[in-house]
Amino acid sequence: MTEIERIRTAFRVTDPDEAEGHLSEQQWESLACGELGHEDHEAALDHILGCRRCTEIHQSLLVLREHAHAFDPGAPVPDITRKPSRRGWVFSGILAVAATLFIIIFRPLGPDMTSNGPSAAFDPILRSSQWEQPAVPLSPIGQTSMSGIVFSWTSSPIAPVSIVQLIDNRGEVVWTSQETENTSIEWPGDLAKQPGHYYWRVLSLGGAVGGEQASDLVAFDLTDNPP
Amino acid sequence: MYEEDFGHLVRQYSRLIRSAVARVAGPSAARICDDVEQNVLIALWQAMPGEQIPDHPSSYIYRAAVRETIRAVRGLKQTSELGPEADKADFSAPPDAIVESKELGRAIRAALSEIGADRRRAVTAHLAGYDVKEIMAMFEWPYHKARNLIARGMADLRRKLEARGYRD
Repeated sequence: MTEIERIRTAFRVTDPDEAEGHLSEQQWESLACGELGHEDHEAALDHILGCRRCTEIHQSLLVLREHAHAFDPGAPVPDITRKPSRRGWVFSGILAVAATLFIIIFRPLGPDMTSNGPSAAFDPILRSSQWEQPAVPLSPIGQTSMSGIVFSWTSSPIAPVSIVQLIDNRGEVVWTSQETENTSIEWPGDLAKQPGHYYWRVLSLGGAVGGEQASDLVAFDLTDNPP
Repeated sequence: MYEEDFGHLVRQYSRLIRSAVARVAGPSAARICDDVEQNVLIALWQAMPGEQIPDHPSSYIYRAAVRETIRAVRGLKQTSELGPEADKADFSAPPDAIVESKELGRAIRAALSEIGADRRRAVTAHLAGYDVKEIMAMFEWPYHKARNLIARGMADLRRKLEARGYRD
């Protein structure tokens, strides 16, 4: 999987599929015909970009808008074939000249400005600490009884403050503990114990580099009758 | 407009709607789009007011085509036929991968919220699967502006992900 595919997949996995404020049929029609006012148009696009369901409808309507005018003069002219105004060209020209001058003048001062282009290699990984010293989860791991569950770990030597995250088998974080300098913490009293497969890890806070580091993710099965 | 011309227009629209639905239908497009085209063809005929074909039906039929496209896409969604496989959470993947992907997704969304409005929109559209031409049409941006906003926005996103601990 390429970098952009990985980012896109991650972006879509967390997409709010059932976001509120879907466009009505009338609003879709107005959008597709270019009849929405500026503010309504902006609001519609903001919703569409945050809602996978509406993104799919919108993408299909863009195909319709792009090609319908070719065989139906009554259909709206596609946006991208409309000629920009003369004023727009003049403004763009001024901007282009200004941008060129800016680059010529300031380029020697900013060598990093172009170092992060879209083709740069990038392989995002789960925050882990192959480059630091993470906490080490000790228990529970594997088959675990429903009674008396205590999460225990060895804390990071450089970041002793820890947070425990409990994650269900769909990857959702179901509990995040308070910050603690202890190395154990009980299953939260307000979280019902349901049999199933879980993951947990320790986030180590602070330390020399700041931020937080995640330990390895470990798994356990909560069962009524462990072996 | 003669009925024959009108029928030709309806057929062209039904083929176009088929393509529009295929744009978002993913791998199952070929199998489902024959049905979509047929249903749309019937619906467009039925959408005409009464038995009389309007003198200038083309803008009317464009609007009907918009409605039928929306219904076709929604219909696919209800039968879970929609979307490239990559768009869906793959729960057959190793759970560690799901967790990592969700965490990265949340980090991406948090990072996007810190980026300037135009760059955020460009990157969000780019990640949602819009191509440059679609982004140009969507925001009425010229080509170079769209390309620049995507590139600079992606660079911003990478920097912010790095700041959150996601390294190259």
